[in-house]
Amino acid sequence: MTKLSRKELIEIAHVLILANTPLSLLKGLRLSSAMKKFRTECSAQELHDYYDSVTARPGQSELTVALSYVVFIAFLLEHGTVSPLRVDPGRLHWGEYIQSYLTKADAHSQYSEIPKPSVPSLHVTSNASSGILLGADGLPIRRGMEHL
Amino acid sequence: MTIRLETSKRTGIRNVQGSDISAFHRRLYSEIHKSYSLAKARTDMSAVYNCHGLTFASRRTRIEDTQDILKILQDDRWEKIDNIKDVLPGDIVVYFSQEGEANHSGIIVGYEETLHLPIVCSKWNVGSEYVHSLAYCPEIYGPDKRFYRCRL
Repeated sequence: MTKLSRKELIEIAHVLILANTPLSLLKGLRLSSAMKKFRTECSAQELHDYYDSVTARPGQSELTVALSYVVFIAFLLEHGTVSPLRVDPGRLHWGEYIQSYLTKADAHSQYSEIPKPSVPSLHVTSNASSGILLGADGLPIRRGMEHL
Repeated sequence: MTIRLETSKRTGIRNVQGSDISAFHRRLYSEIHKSYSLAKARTDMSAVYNCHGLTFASRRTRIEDTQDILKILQDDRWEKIDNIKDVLPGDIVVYFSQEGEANHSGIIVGYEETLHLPIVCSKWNVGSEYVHSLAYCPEIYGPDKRFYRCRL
């Protein structure tokens, strides 16, 4: 299981107690190093089980709550739309708000995704036609006047 | 717990009052105090109201949703001030994220003439009210700062 240093725990606790709104909490935690660890190191099942255990602890401190939010958000960001597992957002004060925001953001990004245009390329073809040169006016240049 | 809170046009504003401050909260905030030693704490910590509660609800409750902030700005005729040099004490600043979320706010209480920077009184979630220069606050607030004056 992922291990967090004291510094990383304090970092997420600071974000939790400074965030005035659910989305500023989301933004702050997304940038934390703890979040990076959970997102890269844990499977959906691990995050799900860890969320269950950490939110079930009685008498939660700010550290535990911050940790719960990190695990919750990591799960939603990495596995929210693809995993059959579900985490209960109702266990966190701002859980439902954050889940709803991320679901909408995900749906929006899916539907508004613009297909990547094909790489522009130049097709150089040999001129196998009559070899007529065209001037700036689009009209053929008469032979012998190319130098003008 | 919520209280009845309305704009001047009687639109209801969602809100919630926080509960107690734990000893752990206090310990964490003592570290934040040290990190922002130039911000002057003017009150004790309180979970009852947040920054938006200070700016828009007379310290009575917490307002947590950007849609409610936008509704207040509109209904109560908070007019945007485009030039920072026109900002005066009594105006307000709302800090928006790049995604347009109102993640912090405060009241302008002064002006630093040399640097042309407003001095803000704002509340850092459950922490104290701080008097600080415009950008001297935690990174999760902002980065887009917009100023408003009430035209009611």
